[in-house]
Amino acid sequence: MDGRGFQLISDKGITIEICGSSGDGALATGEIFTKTLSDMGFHTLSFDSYPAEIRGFGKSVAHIRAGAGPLTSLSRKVDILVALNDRYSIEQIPKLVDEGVVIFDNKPIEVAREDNDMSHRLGPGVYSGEKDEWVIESDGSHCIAGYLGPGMYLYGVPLNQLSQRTTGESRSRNIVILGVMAALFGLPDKEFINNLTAKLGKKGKSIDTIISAFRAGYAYVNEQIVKLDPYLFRKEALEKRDYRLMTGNKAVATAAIDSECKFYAGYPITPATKIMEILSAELPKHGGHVVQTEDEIAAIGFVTGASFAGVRAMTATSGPGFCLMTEFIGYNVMAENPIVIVDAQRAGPATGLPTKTEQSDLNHALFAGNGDAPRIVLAPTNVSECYQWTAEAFYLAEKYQMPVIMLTDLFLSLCLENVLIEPIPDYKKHANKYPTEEELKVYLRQKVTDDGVSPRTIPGQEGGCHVVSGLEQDQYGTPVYDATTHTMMTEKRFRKIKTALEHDIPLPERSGAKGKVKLGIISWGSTTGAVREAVNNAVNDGKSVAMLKLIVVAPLHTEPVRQFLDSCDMVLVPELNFEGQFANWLSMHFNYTFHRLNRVTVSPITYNDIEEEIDRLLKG
Amino acid sequence: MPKKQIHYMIIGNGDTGNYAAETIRKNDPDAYVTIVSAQPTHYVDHSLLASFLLDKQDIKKLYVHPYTWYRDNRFNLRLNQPAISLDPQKHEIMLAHNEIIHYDKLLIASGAKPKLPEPLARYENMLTRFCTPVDLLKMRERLDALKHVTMIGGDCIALHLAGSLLKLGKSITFILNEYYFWPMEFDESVKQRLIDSLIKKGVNVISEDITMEIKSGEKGIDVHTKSGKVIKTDMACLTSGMVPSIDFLRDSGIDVQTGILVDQYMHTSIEDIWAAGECATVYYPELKDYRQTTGQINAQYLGVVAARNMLGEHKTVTLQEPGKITIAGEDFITYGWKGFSIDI
Repeated sequence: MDGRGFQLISDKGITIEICGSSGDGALATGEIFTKTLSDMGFHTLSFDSYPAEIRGFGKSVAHIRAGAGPLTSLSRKVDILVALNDRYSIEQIPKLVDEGVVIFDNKPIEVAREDNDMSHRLGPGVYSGEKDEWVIESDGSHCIAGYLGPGMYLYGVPLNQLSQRTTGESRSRNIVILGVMAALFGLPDKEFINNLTAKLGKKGKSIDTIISAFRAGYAYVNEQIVKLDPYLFRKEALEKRDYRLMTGNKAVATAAIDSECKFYAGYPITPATKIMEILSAELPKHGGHVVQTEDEIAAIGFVTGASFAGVRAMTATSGPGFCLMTEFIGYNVMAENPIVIVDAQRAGPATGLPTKTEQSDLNHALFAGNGDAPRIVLAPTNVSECYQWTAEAFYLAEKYQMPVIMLTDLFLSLCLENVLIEPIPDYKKHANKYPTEEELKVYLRQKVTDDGVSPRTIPGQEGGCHVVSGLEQDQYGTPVYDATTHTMMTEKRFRKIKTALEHDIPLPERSGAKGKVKLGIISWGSTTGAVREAVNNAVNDGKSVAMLKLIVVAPLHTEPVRQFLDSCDMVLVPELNFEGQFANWLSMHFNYTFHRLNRVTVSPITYNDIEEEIDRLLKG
Repeated sequence: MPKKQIHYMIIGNGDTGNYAAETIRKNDPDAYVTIVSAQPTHYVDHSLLASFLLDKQDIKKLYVHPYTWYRDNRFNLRLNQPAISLDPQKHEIMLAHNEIIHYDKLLIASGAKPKLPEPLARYENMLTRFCTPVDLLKMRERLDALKHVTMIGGDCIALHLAGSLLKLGKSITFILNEYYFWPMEFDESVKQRLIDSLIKKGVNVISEDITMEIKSGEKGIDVHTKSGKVIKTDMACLTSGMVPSIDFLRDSGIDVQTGILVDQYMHTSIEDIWAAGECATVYYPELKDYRQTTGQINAQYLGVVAARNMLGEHKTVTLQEPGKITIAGEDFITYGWKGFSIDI
């Protein structure tokens, strides 16, 4: 609390949602708000949800969690709801904490008339029940003002009027609301104006006009609103850090460039498209090339060719596109060709829910293709790791001459997070095993070696001529069909996996309570952030809980996992898919019955979800 | 045939509105009850407002009920949503944010607002009010910079406020006009004793004078009186009594004199609309006359009577037992309050 009784934003942070219809600018507002908080030194984590349609109407929500300390997960509960569209925002009310804040347009163009049909009323009262039993009960109006709980704070601001007055049109309501939020929650206007200028200064509208809309919102709060809610951002004593604010997609693209990737081919697909957009602008500046192909089959074909030609190459897609790439996964295993495939998972199957998150492509990543086809499957758990493990993907693919599949998901792809970029060491940028002069005298492209990795030439290298195909081959690369060679070469390809485990794939990371615990949680991918925060909270509360984080999903370091299983009375595997694909994968390695938390609710698992499951399991 | 769920709407979240809502809930568990309030804060005990100037306690400590009380009673509480018009034919009220809501039975319990003397109408924006928690918060923000405060009129709110401001070391001037000590109806000797008591406490009292102009001064504001006095002050408080807060009823067709005219059942001149509390002018059969009521006791009682009549009873209002209050150490009998004291 500060001297005025306001609760300063703590390490645990608060959650803000900006909700509007497509075209209201809710997401742009969220981005600028997040960026400004990040610039001020707050830790931020934000995520957008929006409809699949490129144009038209639908609900768009920017979710922002910000705090003075590191944050790893979104929160299920919302502290502040900004309503740019009442109809959609009403649906968000059940997520608000009891004493949450709602900011809405109190001078809309249209009059909201309550539905006089009593049958529409669900019953008296505003809301009731537990989290999953929330029932919104109101007097049937389409205005959000009638839906608030009695402890909530309602601030009305004439967003439309202020926008009209300052810019001559209503489209800048989202800029006005930025001014409102800045003033209401104690944030300096200067930082916002800098970011508004950076983001919108080059667009058609004069930046002065945009800033006047911001200032109108800021002034309105200072002149007309008496602050009653407890939320106030602390400006003092924030550590200045060298974090960069970026999305998972941006981290992937940045790491690709920093890893000296020189070729990208892809076909646009949500949520991976942004990777191609960034690379198409940036890669040519670094001597690279981007090709937008006619489909995903062509994309992975291009990447395969570029890799064969000797450059680091990648493609990025999502589930439906990844399906089309399946044939080439096996081809690159057989040809021992290094390629990087990023699969930004979204809810499926088929086209599924293009703008909704899920972790349901794991089975496909692990098993796609015919034959015994070893591959490395990675799943970074946050935006920082999207950067770090993209670099690792290139390194591992090149060093072990095989496809590396990196699974992100829609949440990670779009999540804006402060990340600390560690420079990529040089040896990870140049990992190809070239043949020695001696080896070039009689070049064996598929030479059987102890580590399974054969020397690899690039086309044009004298003495390095060889044949590459999807057929089984002997050490020269000549197609063969005999059992002995097939056995030998299959063993060689799998030996690379063993070598990678011994030399390059880190052990799973355990944290939480030490020693024997009542409950262990094994996490993978973006769910890990929620697990980490829940486990930290549980341990702080004296609960006997530990977690094991796996970034490299395949191949598995089985011994550390086994030790973890042995140290837990029970083990939970939470994931965003219906079948429990990761739990099933673990079950293939261990004779163990896992507790599962499987969600297909197409939104990220929050730490609140994990905390509830921890409590449920510990109570037995 | 299932019972029809009735939507009871109450405009006002003060003593009257809350007592009425509670009465409705007790007697009709299925009723849909909406309380509409222009204020962003909850129902408070106004007699404590001035004391909250003395320290910066959380304003929630002023609240009579925790917010959970409204949830537990299933009241749809619409705070910070002023009503701006009423259409009795359609049974609808319009709120300031362009929302129209329907009622089946309406209780107007919108209370009172500070009276603005005619000559001061054009200086309204320069006058400070002290009637609501928001007024309290605004004054808290300015408190450190305040050295001198002028009370335009000397109603009970002014006395309350002066009590706290004196303790905070602020200088005070009272300009007493015809409304002083509103709503108390003291005789002249009592009034003089109270004035003497104020002077004894170091308060500058200007009596038998009227404020005519308020202008921006070199440092603060200058208050000009009819007799030509100029008081240099940091804040001019509007403390000339209260009037019913019923502006939104303009064009509604409801009969209004000083307040909304209601019969002995608290019913207005229009079907399905009742009024109670400081916004109402009530017909008391005992007096065979209408009376404007003030004070907590009346507000709470009238809220209950109105609610019971909304529920279908025919309860007649009666005058309440008088209560004892204390002002500046002197005891007085009133019909509006009891257990109430002002210590200046």
